[in-house]
Amino acid sequence: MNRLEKIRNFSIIAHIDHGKSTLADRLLEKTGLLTEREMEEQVLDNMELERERGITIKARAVRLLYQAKDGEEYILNLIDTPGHVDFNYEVSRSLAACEGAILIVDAAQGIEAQTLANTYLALDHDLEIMPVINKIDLPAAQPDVVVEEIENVIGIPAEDAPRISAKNGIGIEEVLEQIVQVIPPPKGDENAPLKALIFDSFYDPYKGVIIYFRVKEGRLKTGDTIHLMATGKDFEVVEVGYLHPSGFLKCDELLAGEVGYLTASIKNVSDTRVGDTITLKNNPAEKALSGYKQVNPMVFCGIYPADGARYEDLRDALAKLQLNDAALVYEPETSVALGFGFRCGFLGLLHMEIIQERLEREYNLDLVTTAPSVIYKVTKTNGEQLDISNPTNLPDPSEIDYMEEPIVKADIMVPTEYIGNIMELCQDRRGVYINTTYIDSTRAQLHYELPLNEIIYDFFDALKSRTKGYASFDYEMKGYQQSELIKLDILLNGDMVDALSFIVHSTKAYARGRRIAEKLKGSIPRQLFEIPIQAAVGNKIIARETVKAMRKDVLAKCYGGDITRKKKLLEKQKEGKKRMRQVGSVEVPQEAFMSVLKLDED
Amino acid sequence: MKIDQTKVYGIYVHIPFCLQKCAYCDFTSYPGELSRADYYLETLKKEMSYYQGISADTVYIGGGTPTCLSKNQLCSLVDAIKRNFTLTEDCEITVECNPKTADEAYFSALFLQGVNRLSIGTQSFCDKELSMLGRVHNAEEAKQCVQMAKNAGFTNINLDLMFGLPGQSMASFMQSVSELISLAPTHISAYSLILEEDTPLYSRVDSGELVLPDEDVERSMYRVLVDELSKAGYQQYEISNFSLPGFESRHNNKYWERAPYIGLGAAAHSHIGMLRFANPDELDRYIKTAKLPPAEGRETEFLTEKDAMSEFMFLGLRKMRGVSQKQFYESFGKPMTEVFSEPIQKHCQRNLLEWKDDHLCLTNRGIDVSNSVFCEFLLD
Repeated sequence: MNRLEKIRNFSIIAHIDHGKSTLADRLLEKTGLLTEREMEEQVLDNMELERERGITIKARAVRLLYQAKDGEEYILNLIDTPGHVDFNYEVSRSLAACEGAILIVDAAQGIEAQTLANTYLALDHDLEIMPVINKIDLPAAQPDVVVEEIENVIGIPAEDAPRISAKNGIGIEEVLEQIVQVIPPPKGDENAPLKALIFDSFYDPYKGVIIYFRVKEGRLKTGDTIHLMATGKDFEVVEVGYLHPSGFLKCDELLAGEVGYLTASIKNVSDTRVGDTITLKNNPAEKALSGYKQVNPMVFCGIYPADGARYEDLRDALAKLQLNDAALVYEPETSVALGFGFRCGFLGLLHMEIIQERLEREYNLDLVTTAPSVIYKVTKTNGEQLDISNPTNLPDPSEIDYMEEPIVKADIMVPTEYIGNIMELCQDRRGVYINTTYIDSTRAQLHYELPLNEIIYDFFDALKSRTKGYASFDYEMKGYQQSELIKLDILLNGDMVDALSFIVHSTKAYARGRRIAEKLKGSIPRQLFEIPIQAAVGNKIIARETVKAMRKDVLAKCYGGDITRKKKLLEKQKEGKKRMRQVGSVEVPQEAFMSVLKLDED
Repeated sequence: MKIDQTKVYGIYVHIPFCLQKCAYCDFTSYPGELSRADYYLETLKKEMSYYQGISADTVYIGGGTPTCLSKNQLCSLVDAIKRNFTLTEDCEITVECNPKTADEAYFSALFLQGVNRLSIGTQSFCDKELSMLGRVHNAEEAKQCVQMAKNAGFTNINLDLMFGLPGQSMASFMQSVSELISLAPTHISAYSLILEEDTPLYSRVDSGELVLPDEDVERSMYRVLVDELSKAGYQQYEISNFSLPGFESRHNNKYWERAPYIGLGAAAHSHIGMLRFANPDELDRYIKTAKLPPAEGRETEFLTEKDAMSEFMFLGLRKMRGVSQKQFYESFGKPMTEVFSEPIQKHCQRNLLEWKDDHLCLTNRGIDVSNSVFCEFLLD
């Protein structure tokens, strides 16, 4: 048996919650015993790392050693894939590093939208799909039904799919054995010029950027000067190795077919783009691997510190996050209402949520975010073309010839009883119905084309609430389409609040304006004077609500001589006012800006 | 600390005992702990010994319910105060009491002991409201109490009144106001109910079992009260306080005027020099702390000049007369309009504050939203 025949490179694809990480853990557990020598190196390495950071490194590509029933020891490289549509491109690059994919399907829930999307992606890369039926121990498990579903819907044989419970460790051995049998070994000439595919990279404060890659052709060793073909950068390799279940292990070199990591004192992840090809400077490959593309953000929003004094902290936090996330873009912007902040671009909604959450949790920042926006293409009457991601920058309507908005292809998997609800929702979101495919008698997949700006608000929440949580959803960009779009402004006490302006389809302006006015009325506290809330398109007011003047705010009670308590109450009240944003003469709480992001509620 | 012996002080004594706790009350009081009253009184005497010889022109014994002490206990307390401090000849000595905790003999004893002012917690003259508030008395008993106090010789009597009660109608409030006026007190304290968290009444309102009158009704009650009392000859001199001419509470005025006072007993607050300090609420901790000299071992706030200026404003503005520019300048050496130019201008513009010659005071609308006005007078 030659070297390559003993290697298997694979990913696990699954719908969220179908047990991907649990299975990965089980595979690691079954195969992850260290030799004594490895153990020693490992312990040293880990200590250094922990001293530097004290965080565990996310295992993006782990090398497992498996003693198969045929008596041979196989190297199994498990390559993790991000689990969401926003990271479709990253998923596709991870898959491109593999020869096969384990498709996990939940025995109780069956195929979901994401399962299909990822499977098709894997098939696009000519991967061998190896279905696994998980959670067979659940009372509601119907493995036979699911097997049939896989065969009918995806069209791959599933008769021999291992039936397992990753949670309880049932059937893991069978999975390992099938990996060896079903998934083809890699091909590649180790003597050809180096071509290695970057499928992930992240910044480590100790080692600099760590690149995960798959060697397609040639070989790579410490001391080599590499050339990154898309970004055009050169680096000298400091370390190559692979990830063992318990940490980084250095090795001398990596050959065609193998998966590993390298470090080369690289400071910036934007130099090591996912999908780029690594070659050698003095013996370069003629052509880069296909499939590289520069990922561009699709969703934008303004992010502001709740406490204006923490602007610098926010800037530092974004810079740190960007070290590890080349897809995150941001630039400073100023809002009259919110002060100094940043306009940030994300791959999609989940990406946006992840970043916001990390800023809040890891950097302890309180944020105010504006309504998310997409990039609109504006063609002005003078022929000039603009990309607008901040509604405030939209030119005057008189200067606009026409506008275009991004459209996505959306696949929504839903139990048949909710088809009506979902069609209604998609209709309401300006969806164009394409067709319906039936998975089985109880579930269908609806295909729609939807404007991206209709799904970035609260589409996912709306989907869930209309299907008792059963719908699943996946989308990909289709392109731009001309559309009747207008800018809707919100005025408080006659003053326009720039942070609340947004671009909306003309048919929806009225309803949206009214809803926002209602929401704001609910979240702006009564103040010393009456506050009109108006929604306006140009000079035309299309909705109005009023926050009545505060009637009573008096401390009648006598606290004996306890003046300190009185003062504390007043201080608290003053603090509360300070946390609000001053918009003209109106004090607007942070929540008010956030409340308009969830218009579908109640 | 050094106490300026040349000043004349107010004295507040807290009696943290009650027969039962009212449903809205979050003051320090310990129903069922009356057995410890003797020891508590001993402690009070110890605490006052630190202030021997200091002059005072007001004494206020509040609670809790001071009159749930025995007649002898309370009289001995008043006696101890008189012996420890140098009381001015016209010293105002007030005792708070609740109907049903004192009879005519009790009042007579207090009167003979030199107490010259009573503050009676009548609160409402509607039995349904009284029982909802968790008061131990009914309206009839409250009226009898006032009569007994008068019979005992008291001519200076304050009655408490509450409004904005759950379920209270304008009609029932008007009824209470007219009953109150017919009792002819010299002074009236009228409080809008404030729901404090962790009180039974709060929970009942929070759960929706009881419903508060809406803000408009509550404010109308206040307006009606001011009008009715004014017709009956009572002047409003502070947001919550009304009196016949010459019967303002001298003790309470010290709070609004930042005059010095000494607080004795659990949870009592003192304002001496540039310090504000408080005794611990909890009985055992108070008893321990009382052995220490003033301010020591107590929660203490040192007032900066900014604090003092802010207090001058947010306390003084509670009085209908307002705050005097001249007095501000005399106290701090700076013009009030300079230190507080922004909030003064803003609130005058909004018609929440107004000038009356040298005095800046709240307008009627300003009273209704006074907290919003006051909090802008806090200096950073």
